[in-house]
Amino acid sequence: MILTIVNQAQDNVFLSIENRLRFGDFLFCDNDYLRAIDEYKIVLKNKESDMLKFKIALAYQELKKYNESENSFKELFSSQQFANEAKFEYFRTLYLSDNFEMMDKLIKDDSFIDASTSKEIKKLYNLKHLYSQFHIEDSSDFFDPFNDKESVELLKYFIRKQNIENKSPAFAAVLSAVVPGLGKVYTENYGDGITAFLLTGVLTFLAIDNFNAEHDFRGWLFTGLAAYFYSGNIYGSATSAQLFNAGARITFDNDLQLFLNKNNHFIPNNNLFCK
Amino acid sequence: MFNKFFLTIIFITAVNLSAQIETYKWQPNEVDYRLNIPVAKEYKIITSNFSTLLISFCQAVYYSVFSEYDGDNCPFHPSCSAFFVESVERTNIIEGGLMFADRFTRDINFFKGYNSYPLHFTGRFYDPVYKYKLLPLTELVELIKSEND
Repeated sequence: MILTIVNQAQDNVFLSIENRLRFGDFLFCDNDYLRAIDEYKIVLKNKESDMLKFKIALAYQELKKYNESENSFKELFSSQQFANEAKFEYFRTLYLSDNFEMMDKLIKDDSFIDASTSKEIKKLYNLKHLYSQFHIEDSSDFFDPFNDKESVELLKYFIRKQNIENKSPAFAAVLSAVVPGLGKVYTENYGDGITAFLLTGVLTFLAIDNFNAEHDFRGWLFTGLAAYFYSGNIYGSATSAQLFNAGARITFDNDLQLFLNKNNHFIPNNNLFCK
Repeated sequence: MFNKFFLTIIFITAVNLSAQIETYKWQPNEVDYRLNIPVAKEYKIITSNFSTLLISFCQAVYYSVFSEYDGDNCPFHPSCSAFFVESVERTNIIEGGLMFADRFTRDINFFKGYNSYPLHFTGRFYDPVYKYKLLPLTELVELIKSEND
């Protein structure tokens, strides 16, 4: 009985709120975010803390659970201690989750942007514009929030974005209409181009040869097949150009994402909680 | 004495012979590294409209008469006939027909390889229909990105 009492007493100390908080902090700094959230939630049942709510939101962000993270940051907008940080991290979550519509709405809302974080928010907003699907209206405005060193590094991607290789689907189709397969060669699918040329050529030769030999049925059959593959090649050249353009944009976006992740999206890494 | 000697000789000979048989038995087997992936063939008749009904019927006939005996030879996923049915289903018989003509030309291209197509888990070249629908560029990029994710 004495042993049971001693054990229970030890258990109570071991699982105290302070110990759970310490353990949660350890897990958080050890990047074990899922378990850290569990510990913090237990502590929050007993003690109200904006800091813990903020850390939970950050943990969700790290876990790429962006919906939960956005909701948790929103709850802190009225917090005295973490309002500005929560707004910035909320914006960063929108950036990471590619929610560009909401970012666009918030950047125009003066009540949302605080002077202390406006530069970082503008940075994220401009960086989003560097991806291939967006258009940069004013190039001088683009580099404003960045310092000289950052601007030089970003300039490479800025120039590359302006010069992403583009093949015209209409031109590819016209080329294939003139010479079968030439549109595919234009989109750098050389094998497909040669095959299309040979296939259409052989079918046309067979059609002519059969007409010359007065095999009219076979002649018309091969004419039909040649026309069918000729048309298919024109259509295929247009889609091939479109796929080429999509591939060039995806490669650019992937390279940009790697570059930005490597540079922490040009946001200083203010580690508030883990030294 | 003679019996003992005789039995010993038989024993040694038998052991040696059986040992030789064992050696023969323990020869390494030939290993077949080919992927053994069963591909279920679907003979589905799609009745959503006349063109899909026609093409899916033709596909079922092709499967039963030719493909069943010729074997699973298409290097693509989805296979050319499945691509034809799906393209007609997603677009119309004319556009679907053109998409199929283009796919057939790409299929008989001897130079196609890993650089041109991603590899599907079945070991075939992954070449889905949506990529050839002439979609707007941004939509196409988003679709490919979401699929890669």
